[in-house]
Amino acid sequence: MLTSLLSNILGVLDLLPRYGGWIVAGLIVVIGLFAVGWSDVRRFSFQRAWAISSVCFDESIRRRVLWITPLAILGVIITAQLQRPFDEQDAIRQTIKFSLFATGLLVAVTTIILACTNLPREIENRVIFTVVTKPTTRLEIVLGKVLGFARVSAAILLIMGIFMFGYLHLRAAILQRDIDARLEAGVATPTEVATLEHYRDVGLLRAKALALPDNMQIYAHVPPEEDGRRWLSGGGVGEVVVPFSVKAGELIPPDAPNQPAGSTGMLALVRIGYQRAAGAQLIDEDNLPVGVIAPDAPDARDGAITRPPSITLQLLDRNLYTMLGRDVINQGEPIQLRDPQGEQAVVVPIPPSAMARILQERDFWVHITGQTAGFMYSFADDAVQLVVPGASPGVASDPIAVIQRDGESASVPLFRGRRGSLGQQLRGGREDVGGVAVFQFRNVHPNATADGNVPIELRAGIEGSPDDEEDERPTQVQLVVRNLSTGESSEPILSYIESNRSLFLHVPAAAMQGGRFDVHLRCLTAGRFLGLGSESLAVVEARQSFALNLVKSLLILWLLAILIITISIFCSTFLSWPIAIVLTLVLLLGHWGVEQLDDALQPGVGASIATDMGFRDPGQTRVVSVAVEALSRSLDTLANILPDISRFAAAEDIERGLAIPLARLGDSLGVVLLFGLPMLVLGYVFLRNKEVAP
Amino acid sequence: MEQQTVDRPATDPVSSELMARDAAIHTEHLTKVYKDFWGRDKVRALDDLNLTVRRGEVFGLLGPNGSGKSTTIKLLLGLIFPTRGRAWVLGEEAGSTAINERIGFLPEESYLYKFLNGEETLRFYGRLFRMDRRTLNRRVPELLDIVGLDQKSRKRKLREYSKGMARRIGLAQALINNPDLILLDEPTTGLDPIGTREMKDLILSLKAQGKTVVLCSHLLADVQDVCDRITILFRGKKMVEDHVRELLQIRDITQVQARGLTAQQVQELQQFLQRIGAQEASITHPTTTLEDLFVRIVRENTPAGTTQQQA
Repeated sequence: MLTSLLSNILGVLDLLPRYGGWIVAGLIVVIGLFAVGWSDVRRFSFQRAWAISSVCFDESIRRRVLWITPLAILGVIITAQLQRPFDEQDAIRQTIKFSLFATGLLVAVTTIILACTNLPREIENRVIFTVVTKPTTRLEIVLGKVLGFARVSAAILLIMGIFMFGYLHLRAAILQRDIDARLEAGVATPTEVATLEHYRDVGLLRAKALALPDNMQIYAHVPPEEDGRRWLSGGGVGEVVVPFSVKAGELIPPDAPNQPAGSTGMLALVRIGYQRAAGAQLIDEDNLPVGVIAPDAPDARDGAITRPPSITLQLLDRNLYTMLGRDVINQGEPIQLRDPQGEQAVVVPIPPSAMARILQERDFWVHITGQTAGFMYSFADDAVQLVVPGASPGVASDPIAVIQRDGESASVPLFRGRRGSLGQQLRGGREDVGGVAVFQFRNVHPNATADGNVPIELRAGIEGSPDDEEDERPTQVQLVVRNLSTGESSEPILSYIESNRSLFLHVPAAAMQGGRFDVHLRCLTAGRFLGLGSESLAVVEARQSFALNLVKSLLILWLLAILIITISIFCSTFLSWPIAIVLTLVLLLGHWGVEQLDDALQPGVGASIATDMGFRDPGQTRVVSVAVEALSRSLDTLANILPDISRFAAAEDIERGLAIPLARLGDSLGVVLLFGLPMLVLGYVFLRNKEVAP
Repeated sequence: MEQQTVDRPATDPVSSELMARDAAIHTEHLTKVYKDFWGRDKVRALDDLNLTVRRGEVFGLLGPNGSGKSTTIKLLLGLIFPTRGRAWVLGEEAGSTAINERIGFLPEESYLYKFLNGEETLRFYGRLFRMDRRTLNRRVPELLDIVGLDQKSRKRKLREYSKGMARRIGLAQALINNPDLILLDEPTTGLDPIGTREMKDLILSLKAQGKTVVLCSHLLADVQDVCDRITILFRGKKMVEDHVRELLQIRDITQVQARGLTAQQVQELQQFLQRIGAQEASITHPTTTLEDLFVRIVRENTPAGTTQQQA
C-alpha cells in the first residue's frame, strides 16, 4: 500500500505540465513582490539600490579581487605554449577553449565566494544595522547586492575579453604567416592543401554560421527518382528504422472488442524488394567462397550454393536500444523475401507475449537489416505496416501505430549506416560497390564567397578493415550537390580527408540556388569506412567577426554569473557562508549531476538492482524495485527543478569556430529568468522576515 | 525600589493610536523573548515595557549591561521583531521603512564600512536618503565640521580611525538626513572629556532645534547633564521613569549657595543654624566637576585658531 501510494504521488509529479516551471517561477515572483512585499515595491528606489551596488563593487575592487585576472592570463599563456594542436585552426580553438574555461572558472568562483560571504559578514559585523535603519527596503538591499556583484563579474569579463581579443589576434597573425609560407613553399601534403587554402582565404578567427542538414541517410546507391524506392546494402552494412507510436486501444482485436489489448499480438507487413548487388562478393557467416551460389536460386549456376535474400526484424525502444530482439520475432529465424519488386507483403508475426513491453513503451522503432550479403534491398515509404490480427483467422485491422506529422505519415523508413565506433559507417569503394550518404538541406540560403563558391565543411572519422592496417593510402571522398529546385547536379568534387579533421570543399553557389538541395557523399577508397553523423557535413552559411562572437560568449558567462549571484545571495540569507557556498554548488550542479546518472535512472533499473542485490522473494523484490524507481524518479524530478547550466554553453560553439546563435543567449537568459529571478525574490522574502540583529 | 511612573499605558486601541501619534516613541507591553533553535524560551530580554517619549525632549534609557536598553532600540528600529506588544515611532508602527526617513541612529560601535573614508561614508548614506550630488556637496562638509573631523581625517579610511574619530563619523551619518528623532547608543563611549563635552553640547543644540533625542548610556554623569527624563531598566523591566530633576532631588535637605560672605558672616550663619535646630548642617565651598576642570585647562592652553584635535 505504501509503495502504491508512493508511486501515485510520483505519478502526479510526472504530470507537471510542460510550462510548470515558468508557472511556479511566476507565482513565486508575483506572490513575493506583490503580496508579501508590495509596500517595498511601492517604495523602491533604483538610486538606493545602485548606491548599495556601488558599495559592493567598491569593496570588491579595494579587496583586490581583480588582481586574480593576471594570474588567469598567465595561466592561459603558459597553457597555450604547451598545447599540441594538429593544425593552425586547432591551435586557435584550443587557446579559445582554455581562455574561456579560465574566464568562466574565475568568474564562477569569484562570484560564489563574494556573494555567499557578503550578507552573513555584514550581519555578523553589524554593518547592516546602519543600512537597514535608513529608508532602505530589503528589496533594495538584495537587488543592490546582485547588481554590485554583477558589476564585479562584468569587470573581470571585460579584462579577460580584452586579453583574449588581443592575444588571439596576435597568435592568429603569427599562424597565418606560417600558413602562407607553407603554401608558397609547396610543402603541404595533399590532404592539407584544401584546408590550408581555406584558412588562408577566410582567416583563422572568423566564426562560421553553419547550416546543418535536416536529415542524413545512408543508401546503397543514390535513390533513383523514377520510382521513389530507396536502397539498402545487404550483409548488415546498413539498417533501416521506422518509427511507430501505439495506443492501447489500437491493439484490441478488431473482431473481439472485449478482449484485452495485445491479446492477439501484432503482424508486421513487410514489402521489401531486392536485387543482386553488382560485383558483390558473396561472403556470409559461414564464409562460403566467392562466386558460390545455390542450385535452386533464381539465378543459380551449376555446382553453386548461396543464401536466399533475407532480412532480420526487431523492435527498438525510443532510444534505439533493443526492446524485442530477433529471437522473439519470427522465432529467431531470418525472414526470407520472395518478391524482387517488393509488392508482395511478407507477414512477420509479433507474439502476444511481447505485447506487454510494447504497451509499456508506446513509442518504438521497427529495425530491419538486409542480412544476406550480395543483395540490395528496396523500400517504398510504406514498406512496413503494422496490423492487429483478429481473434478469427483471416481478420486483421487497418494499419496502425503510424506517426502523423503535418497530416502526413512520418512512419517512413530512415536509412542508417551500421553503428561503428566513430558514427554511422559509410562503406568506401567504387560507385557500384560503396554506399552513398545523402545530406538533405531544405530552406538553406548560404552567402557565396567572393569567388562565387560556398564552403562545405566535412568532418568524419575513418575506420579501416582489419587488412588495412598497413595501407597508407589517403582516403578519397567525392561530393556532389544535387539541386532539387533545378534538377541539376554539380560536378563531382574530389578531395582527400583525414580522420576527425575538418575538410573544406568549395561548391559553386548556383548548385544551392533555391535553398533545396541534397549533398551526396561517397568514400572512394575501398576498404575504408567513414564514420558519419548528421552533423558531419554542414554548409557554411555566413561568417561572423570574432569580436562579435567573443562578446556573445562573454555575455553568456555574465548571465551565468548573475544566476550564481542570485542563488548565492538566496542561500546566504538563511545559512552561514560556508554552508551557503555548498548549497549554491549543489543547486548549480544538481541537474548536471543527475544527467551523468543517465543509464542508472532508466525505467526498469529498480528490478535490475533488486536482482543484483540478490533478492529472490517477489514481495521484497517489489519493495526494493519500487523504492529504487521512486528514488530514480525523484532525482529526475529534482533535476527538472534545478537550473541546467549546460544552457550556458559559452565555449562549445566558439571553440568549434561556430557563430553563437542568438538563441543560445536566449536560452541562457531563460534560465536566469526561470531560476535566478525567483531566487532573488525568495532571498528578499527571507531577508525581510529575518532579524538582522540577533 | 518603589516604581515611579508618570505615563500609564492606554488600554483601548483608539487611545493607543492617539498617544502614539503625539509621542515620539510609544510602546505598550513591549516584550522580547529570545528562543533557542528548538523554539524554547531562552532569554527574556524585555518584559512588558510601557514607555512614552515626548517630542522635543532628551530622553535617557539607562540600565546595567543586559538590562534591555539595546533590545529596546533594536525593536524600535525594526532590527528585531517583538514577541508581544506594540511600538510606535513618530506616529508610525516601529520598523516601518518609511519612518526611517526621519530617524537617525548612532549604534554603540561604529558599524560602518571600513574600506570607505569619512567623506565616502557620508555620501553613501546620503544617497540612501536619495540626496542629490549638490545637496551632498553642501551637507557632507557641513556635518564633518559639526562633528569635528579635520580635512586630513576625512580622506582616511575608517579602518584607520581612532575610537573617538569613529564615534564622530558615526554621529555624522546619524545626522545626515537632519532627522526628527535621534537614537544614540552609548554616544560618549571612547570620547575624551573635550569630545564628551562637545557631544553633550550637540545633544542640547539638537534639542533646541526641536528634535527628540533618546540616548542609552551607562555613563550616568553624561546622562544627568543632558536628559530631561530618564527611565531605568533592570533585567528587562522598567524600574522607574521620571524627570531627572524630580528623581535626583533629596527633598529633606536644603541647599543654600551665596557669594561674597566673609569668614565672620559664615560663622554667624553657622550659629544661626545651630539655634534653629538644623541637623547635620555644614557650610563648605562647592566643587566643580573634574570634566569642567579638564575642559577649562585644555581650552585655556589651546592656541587661538587651532582645534583641539590639531593641538
